[in-house]
Amino acid sequence: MQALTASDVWTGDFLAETGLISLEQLNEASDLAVEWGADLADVLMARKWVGENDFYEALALRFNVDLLDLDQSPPDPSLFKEEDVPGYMQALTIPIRDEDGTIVVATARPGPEAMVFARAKWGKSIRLAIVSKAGLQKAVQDVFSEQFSHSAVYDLAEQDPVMSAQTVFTATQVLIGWGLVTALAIGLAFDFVTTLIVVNVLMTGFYLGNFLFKSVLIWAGGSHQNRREQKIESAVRLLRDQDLPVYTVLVPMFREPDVLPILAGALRRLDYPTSKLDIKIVLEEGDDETYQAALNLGLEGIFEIIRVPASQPQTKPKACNYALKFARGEYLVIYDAEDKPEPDQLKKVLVAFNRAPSNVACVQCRLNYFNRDENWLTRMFTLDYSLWFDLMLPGLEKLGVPIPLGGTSNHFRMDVLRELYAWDPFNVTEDADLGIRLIQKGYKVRLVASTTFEEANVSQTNWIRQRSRWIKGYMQTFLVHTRRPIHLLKTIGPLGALGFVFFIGGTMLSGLLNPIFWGIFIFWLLTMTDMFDAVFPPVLLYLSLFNLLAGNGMFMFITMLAPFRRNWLELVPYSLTIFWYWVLMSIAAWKGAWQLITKPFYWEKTTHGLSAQTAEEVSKAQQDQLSA
Amino acid sequence: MAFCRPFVMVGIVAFALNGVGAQNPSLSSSNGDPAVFANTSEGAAAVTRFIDLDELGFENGLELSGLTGSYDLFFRVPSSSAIESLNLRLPFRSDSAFDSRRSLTIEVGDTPLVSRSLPNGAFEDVIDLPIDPALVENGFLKIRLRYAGAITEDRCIDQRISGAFLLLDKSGGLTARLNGAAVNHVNKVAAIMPSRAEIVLPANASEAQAAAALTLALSQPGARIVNAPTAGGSDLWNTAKISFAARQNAAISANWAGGQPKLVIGGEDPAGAARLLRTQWRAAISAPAAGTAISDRSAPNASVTLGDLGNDTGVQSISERGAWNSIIPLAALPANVKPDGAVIETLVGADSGDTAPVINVLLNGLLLNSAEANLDELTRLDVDFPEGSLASINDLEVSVTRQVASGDCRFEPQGYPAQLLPSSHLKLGDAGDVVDFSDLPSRFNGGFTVVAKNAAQVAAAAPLLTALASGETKVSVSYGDAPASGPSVVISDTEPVGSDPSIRFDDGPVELRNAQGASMLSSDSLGEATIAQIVGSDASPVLWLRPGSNFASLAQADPGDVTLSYGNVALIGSEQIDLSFSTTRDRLIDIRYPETFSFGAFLSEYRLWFIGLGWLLLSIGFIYILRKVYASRQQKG
Repeated sequence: MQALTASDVWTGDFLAETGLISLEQLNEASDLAVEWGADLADVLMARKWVGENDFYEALALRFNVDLLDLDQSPPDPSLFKEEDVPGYMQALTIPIRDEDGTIVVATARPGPEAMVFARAKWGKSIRLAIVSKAGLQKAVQDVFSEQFSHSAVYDLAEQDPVMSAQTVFTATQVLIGWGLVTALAIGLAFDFVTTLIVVNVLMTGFYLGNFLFKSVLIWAGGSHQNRREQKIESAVRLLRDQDLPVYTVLVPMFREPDVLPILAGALRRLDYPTSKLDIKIVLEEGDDETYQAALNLGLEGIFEIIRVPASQPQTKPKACNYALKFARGEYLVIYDAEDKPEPDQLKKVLVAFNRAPSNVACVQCRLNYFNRDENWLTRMFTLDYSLWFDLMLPGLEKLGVPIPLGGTSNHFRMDVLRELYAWDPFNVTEDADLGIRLIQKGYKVRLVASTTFEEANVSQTNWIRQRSRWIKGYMQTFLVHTRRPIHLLKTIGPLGALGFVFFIGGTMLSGLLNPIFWGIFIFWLLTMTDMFDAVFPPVLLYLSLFNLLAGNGMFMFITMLAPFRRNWLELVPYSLTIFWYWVLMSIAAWKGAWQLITKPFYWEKTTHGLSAQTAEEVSKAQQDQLSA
Repeated sequence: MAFCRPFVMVGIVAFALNGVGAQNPSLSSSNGDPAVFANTSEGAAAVTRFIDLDELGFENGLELSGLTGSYDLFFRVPSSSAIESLNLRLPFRSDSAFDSRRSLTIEVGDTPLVSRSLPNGAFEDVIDLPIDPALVENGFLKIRLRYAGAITEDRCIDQRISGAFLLLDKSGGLTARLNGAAVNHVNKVAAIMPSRAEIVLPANASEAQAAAALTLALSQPGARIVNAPTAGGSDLWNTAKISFAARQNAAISANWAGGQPKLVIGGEDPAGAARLLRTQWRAAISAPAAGTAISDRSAPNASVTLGDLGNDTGVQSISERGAWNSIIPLAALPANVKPDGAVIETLVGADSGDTAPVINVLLNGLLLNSAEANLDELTRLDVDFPEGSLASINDLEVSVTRQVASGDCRFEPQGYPAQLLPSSHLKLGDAGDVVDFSDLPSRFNGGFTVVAKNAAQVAAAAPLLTALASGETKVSVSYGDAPASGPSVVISDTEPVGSDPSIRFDDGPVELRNAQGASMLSSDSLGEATIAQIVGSDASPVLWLRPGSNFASLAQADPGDVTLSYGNVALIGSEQIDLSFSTTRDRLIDIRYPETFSFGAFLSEYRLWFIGLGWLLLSIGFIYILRKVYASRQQKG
């Protein structure tokens, strides 16, 4: 735990001397500042022991400098440099104007640190002024708003257009699709049955391949994890705080004021020196309710709030891209608002990065749910995630197949992230896309056994919205990366390409195809009609039957295996009800496919905070906040 | 030697077996009352019986190929005292590809009687040979044909390439002039009567008489049910005649009419008498073991040997390839069973070749197994019959192929013995579902009812039923209602009550189309054809025969040409099966009701339009997307 900075010490003393705060408040605030790793002033203002105006007026008085209102006298944009933005935000010091060779420098943290930064940037001929922290941050964002906003949206599309989902379908893809449809129509017209058999063979082959591939993944994924986990845990204990790099934590939010207390509590519980955390709450400019809630909780003093200018597409990756411009960490992680990462996650990731080859650019942590026992859907979602993150992704990692990153808790090396132009704002599963892009650019992804607990969807309609976005994003990702199939094959290898086809393509395609086969099966079961017999010659019939019984049975079985690793045995019986979950998945798949055509960039927002357990968590977090 | 007509095979073996008495005591005693047998009138005139090779089962004549071979023919004739004269007449044709020296020797009763040289090249001649009746032994005249030859003395030529053959025409045979004493009793008439028979069933025949006629027709594939006998007047007895008398007459009696003996069936239970006659008849002409196997219906899972079914399992001298074609009519098996497979046991003698002889087993032309023969012990091959490989009448071929040493300047070619052992048998299993016509015998063998309007319809249906049931089966005929349960054959214009036939005639016009949707048979054509369909349940299967315009002429059809076997629907012309197919498996034939709306038919009718419309809509979608792609490009540009 670090002591107060020199600036904080004398600032505290000065405020006590002037009577703005009591000595008891000073002592308590000092303790909290040390505990949280936050500035003393932020703690005092978060506790509302000193008003913002009073505080900055006192500072101006103390140093005998001007107190500026940047709304009244905005800074000269020509004095700002884009590459210095992280520095401005860290030192809370910016240039205001040039007065005959003397640079007026405004700071919200007057003290040695600000002076060192100002002199390094603008030389000795400077004159200090005081501004509020919020005013300063807003001023920086205002200066770069347009530029960063454009950059957040178009960087990837302009610099590496072939990797961007801005173009949903290329002309070649459309023509190939039309060619296939035309070939199918010709086949059906000239030899109806044979054509359907061929289509059936392809689909059955796909099902069989998908089933075999996922079985192999499960087998490969469960075999080598424990040893690596133990090594990482040992190495975490050897880390020293002073050696830790600055870590940026991005928390994109949109109209989720209710979960802010959970977020604040979870981030405070991170086992990482707060002074080395660059936590940014990323809000859309129009999202006043969340912004106001953050202000009410006094979070702006502790976390930096980035307000993303309104522009299209209004997606999470665009917001993250925008916030990335202000990030100053060596590593970066994204958490959702309701996420509860395990406290040692950042350190585990750091160790994983340190121990991995230099081309490992991303570490994905596991996701799971804290409200798994709430209802049937949360249980099934938990089984789904356990299977995905605990068994399948490790399998992908072991086999060297590209890993589609999960929505949160993926940690990046900042330089690589910027080199790749970060996330694709047009892709609604930007994380999965980024995972594939990383591999294509020669980087690797590692998995670390640290879990972030999220809120599982408790509502089926909400779940379908979320899953339809994921599947639409998978479709976008598939379309983007199959534009250059040979390039894909060369960059990720045959096994990687196969895995990509089955894991990304398979997930979306099985969701689309399942209702067709179920419909045929149910229709046949009810009518015992022989109209499908021609399309199912014996070998194909047995293969389809194998897929139906053995394939689905196997999927059911591996779903049962999923909770064993976490010893959540009470979830095992629910595996038997997975059929309805597949039905929901298919509904979502068709919705996603429809949106791909009609609204490709539309971000189906998942509403968080619906869970009763989340309400409890919020209540508990609010109490913690008050008691803190 | 070709066996195209499986059922005649029983006849062949029957004549080849010795020692069958003229009367089976057990059967006669089972009936009890000897009074049912009425003797012929004493002092009847003499009659001439001609037994040709066709009647012995050589439908295409008897062929001996290569340069070696022999065959024994057994002609059933009465004892020598009843024979006035015997004459063997064998028209033949021979040919050879190379110069060779060949001969045909005929032995009668193991005594060489005549030998003929066969000149090189194509040659035709007739052997006409009077035979001393004293050479008849135990009611049979045994004729052995020995065919032998060599290309030259040069041992360096493989004589198997000779291309030589000797073909005895099927019209050849034995003419026996019999005096009245030879046919003075029912048993004697039944024993010596020709296999071609006319069963005279009057138009007003009772149900019992119709059942009896059908029983007789099922017993003897060469029999036809006719409304009136064909004119006789000749003393050449080549067609047996069986007629019916009133119930007060004897159950079976024999008398003379038109200069020939005939059988008359009367009594209270003509069908029972027919079965008895059938048994009597068979007692005279078939193996006792066959009767045992077929009558042993209490043991459905027992095996049946190939010998039981009357197949030839004799020793063959094989220099290159020899085969035993065993005929397995499913109608000859116990009820509710079906052969699952067979255990084939062969003994193959050693030869001079370097490689072991190879045994092949084929069912209806489908290779089931192939293995090298054991030379020092019997070779047992256990084969399973693949699903769907069985027909109503099956040909199980066991062949032995040798690679004997010849043409190597050391050995002359010669045959070495091999035998399909009589212990070779079928493995019987559960009959399974009734899917094809060939599944009907397993149900019909337990007895069935024919529902018809009149006796003429029964007569017309008889050839169709020959392959589906045997004369051992209890057959009932009803001119009224169909039975409530049990297997049945319903001959009617409308489908049996409660059935759901594959081709309906109550839904308006019906037609058959091919896979491309083109009409194969119009409603009119279908109306003209006799249509057989399987309807009903597995427990009570019904063969529905919808008579066509040609139905009556079927009474004279050759049963071999109208064998119902494959599929569950058959269209039958006046002399043969025109088309048979399975509505559960075949996809090349579509049954359509043009005037009846069905969604499936509508989709199929306008399939191309739907495909075109779908393609058009999707193409518009693609164009829309493509337009967006280019608009986006222009925007970026």
